[in-house]
Amino acid sequence: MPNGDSTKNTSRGDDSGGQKKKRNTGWETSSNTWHVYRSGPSQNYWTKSWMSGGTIIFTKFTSLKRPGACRQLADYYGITYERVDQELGIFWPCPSLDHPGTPRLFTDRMFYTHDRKAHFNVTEWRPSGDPVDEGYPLFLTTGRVVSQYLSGTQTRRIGALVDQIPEPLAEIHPRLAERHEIKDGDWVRVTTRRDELTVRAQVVKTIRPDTVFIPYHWPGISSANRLTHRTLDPRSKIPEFKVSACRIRRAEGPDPSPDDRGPLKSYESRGGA
Amino acid sequence: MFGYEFYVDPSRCIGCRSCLQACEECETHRGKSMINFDFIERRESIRSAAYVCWHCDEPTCAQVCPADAIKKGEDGIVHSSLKPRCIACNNCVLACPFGIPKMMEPEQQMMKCDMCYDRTSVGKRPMCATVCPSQQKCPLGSGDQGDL
Repeated sequence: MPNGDSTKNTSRGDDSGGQKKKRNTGWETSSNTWHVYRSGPSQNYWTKSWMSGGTIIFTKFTSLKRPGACRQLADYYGITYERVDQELGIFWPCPSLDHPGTPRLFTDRMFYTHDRKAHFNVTEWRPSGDPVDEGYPLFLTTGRVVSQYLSGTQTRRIGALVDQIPEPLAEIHPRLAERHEIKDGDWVRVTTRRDELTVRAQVVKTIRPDTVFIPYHWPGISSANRLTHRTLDPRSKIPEFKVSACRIRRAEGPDPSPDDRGPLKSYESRGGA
Repeated sequence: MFGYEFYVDPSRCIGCRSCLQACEECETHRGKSMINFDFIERRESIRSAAYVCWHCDEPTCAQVCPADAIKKGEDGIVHSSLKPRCIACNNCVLACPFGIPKMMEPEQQMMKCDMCYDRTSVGKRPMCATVCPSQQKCPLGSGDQGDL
């Protein structure tokens, strides 16, 4: 469930699948799959999912009451199916059946820290591993479109979702597009220190004029990660896919198909470090 | 209408098009989405809007129909055109101020949002409302207007 802090609302979508139809929601992938719900090192909860699907799992889930401090925040104990229906969703934490839920956290200004105060953590800035310079004057960032999920191995199999955005589009600010004589829908060649990628332009004011955005859900010659680099965060080891240096120019057409182009080059041969 | 009000708040629309997908699964018009969805000036902003039929008291689509094919039921729902009557003239498509009626070319018939009457008539919410992640479309029961 994609719950950010501001939308931590538990709501039911289970009456959306028609009267009789069973919808595959992940936990009912197979009629005899066992699922483990773990809460703390010593507690394993096993549920046979065919028993009655969501209700059993949800009831189990809410019964995992306060096993540790980290669960204070995600306390679902007071959330029942009946309440979710009646109240159109309940914000967690909701520790008891008569608790109204918590639409906004920390209004009591008591935080889950040792001194109960909110802490600011300073992060020192360091340059990207792929810095912008005269040769590559623009930032390239990669991300998602709403109708696709990650590498698309699930969502690109669904025709209606593919139809929404069938190919990656490069979002470009009108000012930048004007400088390169690019119009909405034109082919744009985006080049970084590793490789180049040709996609259609989507000229929008909702991106910075010094930045190009390409979604990453497509494989092969449409893959935005041909352009990104391998620098890792020294601590978390998260790659710097969100910032690369690039340049753009208008192109006459798409890249040649993989057959004409030969096999994709390895990362090292593309000049990656 | 079935004890519900149906509330659409475009300012909450995040453009996810979940409602379009859910609409396609409605039993009454399988595989076809009846929602009028658009990004508004995508070049300028990320604003989007998804509209369902308003089920007008005096439906313009029905008034302009030369074949009398569009009927408003006693429950207040303005239905898709009656297949034997619809002559696919597109009058309703042009007349509706909200762009709701859709001409289905293969069938040569106008179809439109029917508020999932198969669901709403038995107390369920319309498909689109059940999936809206930002609850842009929200059926309001009595006293349920809290977070809108």
